[in-house]
Formats: sequence, C-alpha cells, structure tokens
Amino acid sequence: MSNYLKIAMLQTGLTTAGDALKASVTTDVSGGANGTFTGLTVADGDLTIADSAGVAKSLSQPCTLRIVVATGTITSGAGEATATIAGEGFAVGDTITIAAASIGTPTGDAVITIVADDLQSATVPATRYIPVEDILYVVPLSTTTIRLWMKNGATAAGTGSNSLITFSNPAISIDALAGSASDSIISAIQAENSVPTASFGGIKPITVVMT
Amino acid sequence: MASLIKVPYGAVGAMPGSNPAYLAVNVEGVYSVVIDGTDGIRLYYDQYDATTPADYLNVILNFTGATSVTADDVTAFANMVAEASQATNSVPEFELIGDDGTANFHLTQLTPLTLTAGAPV
Repeated sequence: MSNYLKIAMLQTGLTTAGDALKASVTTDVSGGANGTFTGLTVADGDLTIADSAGVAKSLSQPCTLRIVVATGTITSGAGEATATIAGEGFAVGDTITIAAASIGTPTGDAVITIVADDLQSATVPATRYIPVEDILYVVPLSTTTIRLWMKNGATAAGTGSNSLITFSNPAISIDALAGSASDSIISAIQAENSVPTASFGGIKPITVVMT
Repeated sequence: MASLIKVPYGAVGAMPGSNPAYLAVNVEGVYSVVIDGTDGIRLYYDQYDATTPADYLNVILNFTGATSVTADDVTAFANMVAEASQATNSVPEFELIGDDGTANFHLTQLTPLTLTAGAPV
C-alpha cells in the first residue's frame, strides 16, 4: 500500500506574482489610451500564443492576463503585466501577443517573451507528497482551493493539522475538484508497491501548505 | 491501511463525463454512529479533541435533503464501518436507503462534512 499522496505541481504555468511579466515585455506599446485591461484571454481573441519558432500553440489550460497601460506604455512607471490565471503549457521562448484592440488601441500589438523566471517552475517544486493514512476527509472550499483535514491534532474549532491546496486554474466545479481529490486519496491508499500521482480533474496545484 | 467509506456528493453527475462525485471519509477509530437531526449522520471517533481532551472528535455527514436520513441508514452505516475495516483492497460505497437518484441524498456541496467534538457516548 502507499502511504503518500503524490502531487504533481504546476510547472509550465505562468507565475501569478504581481507585475512579474513586465520585465519580459519585448514589444511595448505607444499611441494608445491608458487604462487597466483585465480578463485578457485567448478565447476572447485578446491573446495569441506561439512557440519560439513563431508557430501558434495551444495551451493545456488557458491563462488570463491583466495589462496596465500608464503614460502610454506597459513597461514604464505604473504600467503592469500580470498573469491572473497561470494557464499550463508554456515553455521558455514562447510569445504571448496581446492584441492592440484589447489594450487601448495603441499603434501595434504588445508581445511578451517568456523566460524561465516567468514560469511556475522557477519557484514551485515539481512534486509534493502528503501522508495519506491520516487524512480524515476533503473539505471543498472553492473551484481553486481544497483542504485536507488530518485526524491527528484535529480540533472542533477547526485549528487542527491540515493541508491547504491551491490551484491557479479553476476546476469545472467545486464538487468535481473535491471529488477528484477524494478519488486520488482512495487510489493512494489502495495502491500496493506504487505511489500513484493524484488527479485533480486536469489542473495542478501551485501551493500545498501544511497549517 | 486507513478505513474509508465513500459517499455520494454534490450535484448529480458533477464529475467530468457526468460521472458521480464521491467524498471519502476516514472511519478508522469510529466507535459509534448516530442520527444527527433528520439530514445528518454523526460519527464518534476514539480520539480526543486536541485542545479539549474531555471531548472526542465527531464528524457529521450533512446530506442535502431535509429529511433524507433515517434510523435504518444509521444502522447500515455502522455496519459499513465494520465492513470497511476488513476490506483491505476496496472502499465500500454508502448510499442512503431512500436514495432516489437526486442530489437530496448526496452530501451537500459546500459543507458536506462537519468536524466537531463532544462528550463520549
């Protein structure tokens, strides 16, 4: 049997640290309106993703960006480029082209070229392990967070040991995320001579915090 | 190996492909099972509350329907606790006796299980 839940962490998503992508803006804008432009996605036609050879690529999970144009540019002053949802499937050298029409209609599109520090892999370990025998149950919190209650040290006040698992990309529903996590715990407990990797319905965590 | 029981959870067909979702509850150390109101099952664990040693841990399974749980369900769950402790390679699935296929007989979506504590029974 397995005593651990193996968790593959998000590696190829964008870092969601505030303004972290500004340093990777390789084509800035000019001549457009200032403003804060949120919810920029591929699906809405705001973004185009290409690999280092310039070939259009699809992501396994979609990302969302927030761009702030200040004093006419992204890279100066209060300008900002932030991933608000990490997505998954990026590699160093990929480009994100942000359509001019989505960010105040400057004279041309903006381009971000991904470097290693822009990826989750720069700060997030590839794998985490959680002891599974002591897990009491899964607490659904949202489409991006679950909590694993541990039996030892548990208190009715809710201050016992637990692991808080956070995702950037949302699951299709709260039920689906908690149900997937619960299924993974069952698989891990039943696995003999192996440590199966947990599944969370196609999304990967960015943090696992024991509290 | 921990003893688990899986219980139908959330909306009908909540998982990808419209498959049902389940939550597993670890029942190792459960020594008593009682009805909690008319929509809950309370499990008493043989482990004391970490901050109030006079009290012992309880977990309440909260079902969606207001009158979904009966005394017979409690008996069935207690029997399944014993069964789960013997099942080394399987996790039994608990279903309320009145389950009509609706979410009323599933654990609630947002607070399916409540961790609490009380005097031992």
